[in-house]
Amino acid sequence: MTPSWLTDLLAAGMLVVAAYCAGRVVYARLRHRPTEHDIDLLHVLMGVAMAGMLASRLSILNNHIWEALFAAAVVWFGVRTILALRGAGRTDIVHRIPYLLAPAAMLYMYLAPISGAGGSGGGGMAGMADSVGAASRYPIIDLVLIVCMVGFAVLTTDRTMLTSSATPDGLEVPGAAVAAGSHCGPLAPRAANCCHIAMSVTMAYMLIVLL
Amino acid sequence: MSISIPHDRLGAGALARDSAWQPSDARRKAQLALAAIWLLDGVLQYQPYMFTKAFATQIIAPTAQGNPGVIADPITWSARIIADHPIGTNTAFATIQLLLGLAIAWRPTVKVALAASIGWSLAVWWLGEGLGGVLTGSASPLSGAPGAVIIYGLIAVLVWPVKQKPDASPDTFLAARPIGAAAARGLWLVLWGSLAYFSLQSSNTGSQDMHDMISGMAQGQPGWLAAIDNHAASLVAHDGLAASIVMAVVLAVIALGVYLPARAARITLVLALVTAAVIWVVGEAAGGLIGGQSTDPNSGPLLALLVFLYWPMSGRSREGAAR
Repeated sequence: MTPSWLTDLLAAGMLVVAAYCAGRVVYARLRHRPTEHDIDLLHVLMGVAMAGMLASRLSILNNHIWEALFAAAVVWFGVRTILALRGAGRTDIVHRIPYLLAPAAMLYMYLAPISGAGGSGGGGMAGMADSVGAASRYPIIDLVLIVCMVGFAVLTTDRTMLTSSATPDGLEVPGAAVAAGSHCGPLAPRAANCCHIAMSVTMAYMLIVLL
Repeated sequence: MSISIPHDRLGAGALARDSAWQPSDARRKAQLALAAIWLLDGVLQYQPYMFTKAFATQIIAPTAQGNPGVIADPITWSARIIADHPIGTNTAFATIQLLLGLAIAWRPTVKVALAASIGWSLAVWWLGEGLGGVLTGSASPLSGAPGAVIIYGLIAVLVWPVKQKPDASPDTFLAARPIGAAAARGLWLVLWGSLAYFSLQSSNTGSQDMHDMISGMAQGQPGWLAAIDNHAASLVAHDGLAASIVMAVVLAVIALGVYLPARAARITLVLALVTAAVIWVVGEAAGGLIGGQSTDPNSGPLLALLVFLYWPMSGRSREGAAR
């Protein structure tokens, strides 16, 4: 049985990430700071949903609503990825794919058939600490997603630098000069990366518990 | 003046990129692969089973069996401590491995993390794997000998970040940079040569030894994997000695392959890659990842990563690696 303190800790961490990302959206709008709103909003959704999966008492929405939200996110980021494929360089696609796979993995966790005593009938993994003996019926999909999540966490860590000067690498960013002159660079890019790393590692953990 | 930036223009990791950030070269990619495996290990260590007393009594303690007292006693001692404090000790183990993975992936800490990973690998190889069973006479390449975790340490040495001197001759393969080509080839020879030796030990050459080992791994695995393992087991049924000799010859050819000219070396490295895949799928049941009791993906992926490090470089890739 998963120790409840561990799932509670992870759930708390996910709520902190969600709250921080919600704060980013508001702050960026108020202060006119550039940020990727769709990614921040995705992190808000994922943080709240994962907290509810990890600790069932934190589940605030019906699973079907979450499924609809993450399906919409998959479509949104899918379109963005396709547009990136058509218009931009390879780096932009590499940047997009994790944010396409993340909601897809969430959707999978809600929809994946669970076998075993602990399979919660409502779907997915609600209340992991309570789901004794639950196991995915498609472990190979879990494994692929786990490898992807671990890979995203490592690649994001690799790109997170010690210094805070966030200069676009090889891309022209409209408004960058203005941003530099007025000290309005992209909003806390390292913190955004840390959120993504925390999300990826936690999701890998949740998928491994399903195996 | 609005400074709103279209998302797609802001993308490409632009937010995360620092002006000092350089794209990963081949060595860095190998470091990141090692980081990913450590991170995976850390997450696997958080599985519910690892927090139970059974982790100590069923996984750690049995590795003492067959080892000399000086090796076995510390294993028994550590297993007792883990059994008495399963939650605290396992939380520490999992967190250490998670941090090793993230610290190798984070450029400012890569050297410290690689050094720490070597120390951790040696400790786990002894206290967690019983030196991979190499002193017990029961080690087998199919079951992960000489112990997956010691290969982590070996890879950490081979991917150690060093700047190439301007007047130095270009590396012939990635693993040569930190310790020199001769030492790197020697390590390869020792590793794959030992696998050849283990496959000829008496515990592996009985007519049903290999069959029993493979079919044993099939138990508890998903249908498709169990079917592959059972089929492989049936192929070597009652032919254990012949299969062991064939395996030893293949492993010996791989061991010597790095001393051959580049073209021939590449062929033996492809053979090594195929062998690593066979070992991982047939002998190790994909590292036993499915089932909740695996602490790592076992030796197959690590052997494949080693192949990447020993792949002879062309002129262009040498320039890239020398950055």
